[in-house]
Amino acid sequence: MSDLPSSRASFGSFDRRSLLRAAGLSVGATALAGLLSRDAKGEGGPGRVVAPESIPRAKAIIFLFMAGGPSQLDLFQDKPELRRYHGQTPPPSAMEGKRFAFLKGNETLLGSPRTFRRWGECGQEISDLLPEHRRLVDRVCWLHGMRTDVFNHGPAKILLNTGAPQPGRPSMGAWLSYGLGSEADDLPSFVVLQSGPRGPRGGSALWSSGFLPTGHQGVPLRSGTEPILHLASPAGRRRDDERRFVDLLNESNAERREATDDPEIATRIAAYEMAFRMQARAPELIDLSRESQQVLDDYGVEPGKPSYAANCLMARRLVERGVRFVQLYHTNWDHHGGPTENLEKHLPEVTREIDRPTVALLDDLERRGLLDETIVVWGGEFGRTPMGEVRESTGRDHHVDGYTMWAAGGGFRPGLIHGATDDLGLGTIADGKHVHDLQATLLHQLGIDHKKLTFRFQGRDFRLTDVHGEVVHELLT
Amino acid sequence: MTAADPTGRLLATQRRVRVEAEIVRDLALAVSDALVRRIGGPGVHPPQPAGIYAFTQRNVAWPESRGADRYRRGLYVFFVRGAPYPLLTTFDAPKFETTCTRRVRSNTPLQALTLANDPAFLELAGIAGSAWTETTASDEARIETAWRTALARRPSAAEVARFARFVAAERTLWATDPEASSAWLVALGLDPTAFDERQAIERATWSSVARALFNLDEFITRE
Repeated sequence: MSDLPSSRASFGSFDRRSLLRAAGLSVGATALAGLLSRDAKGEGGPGRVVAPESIPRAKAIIFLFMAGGPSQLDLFQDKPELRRYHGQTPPPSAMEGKRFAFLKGNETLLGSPRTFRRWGECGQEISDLLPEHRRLVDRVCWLHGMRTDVFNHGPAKILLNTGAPQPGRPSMGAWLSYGLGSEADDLPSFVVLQSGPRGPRGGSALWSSGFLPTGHQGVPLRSGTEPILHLASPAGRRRDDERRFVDLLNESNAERREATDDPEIATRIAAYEMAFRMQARAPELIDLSRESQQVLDDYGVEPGKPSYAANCLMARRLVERGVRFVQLYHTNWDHHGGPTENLEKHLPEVTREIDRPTVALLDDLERRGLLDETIVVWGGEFGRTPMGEVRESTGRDHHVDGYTMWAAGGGFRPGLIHGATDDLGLGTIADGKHVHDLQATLLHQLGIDHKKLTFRFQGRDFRLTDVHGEVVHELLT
Repeated sequence: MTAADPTGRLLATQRRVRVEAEIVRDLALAVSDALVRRIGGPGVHPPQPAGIYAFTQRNVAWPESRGADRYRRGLYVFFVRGAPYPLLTTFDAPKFETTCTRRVRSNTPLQALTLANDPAFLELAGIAGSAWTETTASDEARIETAWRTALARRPSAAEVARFARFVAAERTLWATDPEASSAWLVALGLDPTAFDERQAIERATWSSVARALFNLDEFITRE
């Protein structure tokens, strides 16, 4: 979208405050003075940064994105009736108007082979696949009536992140960075971490800044021993030498900015400043071996080995250092059945990968007093169907209605079980909530009215929730 | 022009756009005159950081190309879908397993770190910078040559003066610290023992200029 000529108008007024934040205060004095003198002219652009509407309950979000669509029916929603009618076709009345990605209409109901038990005071059901999660139940706000609009991975992931199924809109982390700025001067405000056999479908559109200034996009860190490539300056060059180098670039770029009127150059200057500061700060950040053995064991982290566990620990280190939005993608939850994606073998593998680290993350945040001001969100782009897909082995198809997500910390009501689905898990019967409602509620907890954080682009004001979404107050303390 | 059509509604000017990932590399290859213009043939393996495949489940060999294949255009870089060449990912080349209707054009600190510190770019800065030392011209004249080569335009007087100050500071640095100078030359892919002291200082200095030019917004932007 940013290629279209009309977008130039929206970019024309690079907000001064966010620029200051993005660029930090240490930009070579000339460069910054040059930039500000023109941005301060205030060309009256429509894009705007809002002050917090209400007192924010939370400062940061860690979004544990289970890419592929976890099966709520094998983890968090026990359906005895589904087991009872196992192998039968679902009632036609219940199937009316429903569409699925792969089911052909002749599939039969698949009762979960897992065993469930209720845990905690709230009595949330947890299957045997997530034994550690029993310690989580009373600290988490359970959302069983989640609903999305689209049943394919890429579009559904983009919808959950950006409020629209097509690529091109800013994602939640970018909106938060734009709206609230960063609390970290030496780290990006929106960081993306990935684990699992492959990257999430949808790719970088999931953490795009869309039509917002490009400095707000998510910065993906790599897994493994070198999360940030080329972080170290070349041999022979000291910090002072690099400062002189970056000053030369910034001053030259600022002059070009004057000549061309292109606000992307302001982002480029901010990016070089951020890179320079990250060089000082990031080596300490990414060195997980600085954590105590106890903490490493709690999460199940082996330093240097890429894993979901390592990313959970990294997420805590990032929010601790003021990063606003950390998104962890873990693949693969796309269990259709078949040799590499089935419920018998592969679901237990991925649940084993996330079980302990997820709970350890909550424990750790709580212990450090960070959970009050940090929201942890868990979930995927959709859930899975009560009907089985039987290929060489069993699986379930994508289901856009009545799947489970949860949120903890940051003012979400602990131990609340919200939303319910029918006895077969085909549809929501109480408190169905759309992903737009979740987005509105998350923004609300960070002090933002989702209807007021807007950006004018191509002639209209856009927002994360588009024209939808309501804050779900009953989820909040 | 800007005053008459500030928002581009009259289409008086085209938007500046950052070039695509492959071309970021092609530009540095072309400016350093290292570019090998051969067309077609199998994929090539230019240098990339070690351990790129740690993320993937299998270890893929990356037989680093020597000779001509090291300097082929970016579109010939061998594409491992599970772990693409990092430069390409950093500059928004799409994943190759799905269709792509439009590339994202991001602008991140990771791009800054790549252009500034990736050994593949430093090697090209070393080649370009060394070439600019092979004249007896004044600093100002060399700066003008460097700008015209890298950015296809003459620098303004202010730009020449700014770069001349940088050249002076770099020259002082490398003249006073031969150890750092040697380390920097090695980082640039040059052999410090191959030059006398003056040559070493000049190459170190003008390679810094090349590195700076490669890192300007204008360098990776189609104006």
